[in-house]
Amino acid sequence: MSTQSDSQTQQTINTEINTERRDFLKCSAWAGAGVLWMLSGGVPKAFALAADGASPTGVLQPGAFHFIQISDSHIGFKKEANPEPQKTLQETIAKVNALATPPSLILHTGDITHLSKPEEFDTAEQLLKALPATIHYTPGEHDNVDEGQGKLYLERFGKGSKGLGWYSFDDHGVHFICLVNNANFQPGHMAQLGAEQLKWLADDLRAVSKSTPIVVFAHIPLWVVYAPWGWGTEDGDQVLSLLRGYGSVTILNGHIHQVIQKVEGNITFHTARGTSYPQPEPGKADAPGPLKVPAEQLRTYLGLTDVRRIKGKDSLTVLDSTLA
Amino acid sequence: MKKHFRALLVFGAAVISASGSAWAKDIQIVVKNHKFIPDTVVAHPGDKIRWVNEDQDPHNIIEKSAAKTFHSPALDTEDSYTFTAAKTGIYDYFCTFHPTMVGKLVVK
Repeated sequence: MSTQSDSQTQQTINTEINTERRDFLKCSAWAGAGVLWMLSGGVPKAFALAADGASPTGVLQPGAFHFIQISDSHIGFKKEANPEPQKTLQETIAKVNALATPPSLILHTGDITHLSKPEEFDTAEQLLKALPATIHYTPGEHDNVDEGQGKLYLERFGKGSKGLGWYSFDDHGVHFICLVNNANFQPGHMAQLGAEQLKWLADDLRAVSKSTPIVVFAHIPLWVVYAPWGWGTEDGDQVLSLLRGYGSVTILNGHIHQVIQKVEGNITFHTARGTSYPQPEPGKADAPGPLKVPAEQLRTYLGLTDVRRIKGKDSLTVLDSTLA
Repeated sequence: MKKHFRALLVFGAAVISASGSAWAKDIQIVVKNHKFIPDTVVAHPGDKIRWVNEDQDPHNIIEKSAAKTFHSPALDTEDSYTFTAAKTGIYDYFCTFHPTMVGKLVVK
């Protein structure tokens, strides 16, 4: 977990940019093998990585701060939905490495492995070393089913974290908060953060000024995407109430292997597509789980839409494309 | 006749020894579409309850009390887990991958 500060961060929230962002967020059907997050006017903005790994035209200004979110690598998964998730992770890594401007940091929003096996962690760790920046992790529920209930994850990726793996850090004037909602499961309930973590969060935020952009990342969506499938966090509202006073809050999650976004006031919610396999849209199958698509279409499902901010234009340009 | 009777006794003892009870049953619960089927099972001490995962997703079987009377490792597709009921009681269990998946084992 590195800590950096940079005066480049503009902490003024630009209303016009917020309006554009809302327009952009209406386009919820885009997805990519990786998501490029870029800070503009103090507001993190999401862009899909271009199919050839290049950044969207006009997005990366010299010196701009940007970061990457990848999620749900599921190393060890071998089923027909994608027998080679390590290969698609490598493709994602290659795209990140092909960016003209390397990201300042990378977030992995959990389910690094499929079954928390040591060899799965080994493979993931080796592959992810090829990324060009520090990776900040949060665990998924697939990462803590070892005998030690998350011990292997914490040993490898959670050093210096608190509790079950939560922590915060600052980079380029942005306050990043990693939350863990993949443990303390109760039968019949959605994910929970728990009182201890919520208390830590409240304490952590006391030192953060209201004008500081905040990025919260956790594996399971902090908002309720679809309760019958457990796609939500029961005490997520308590997090949101702590964050409502801040000018810019972006919440990044994984778990559902598809992009869904919404904006509530100052808070942007975003779930990323995984690097491994697709899942059904909420409620559009008997159950969640790996979605088998024809092999030749897999990368179409993992396809992406570029969202570009063309230099000299205020509006965002959205271009759908695929990895096929 | 006496010889046959003796053989029958030996066979019966072997059955009792193997299962703990001459009347012990094997009960199967299928895990499919993120459901335990059936979600409620009534068993007796000595019965063997076997969960078989038929989903593409992994699941586990965790009894919810602090004692965790039974708890399986992660079960990948077609993996199974067997628990032999010992004490009477009502055991609620769930999958920690997908905690909305719940089941009940009644041992009486």
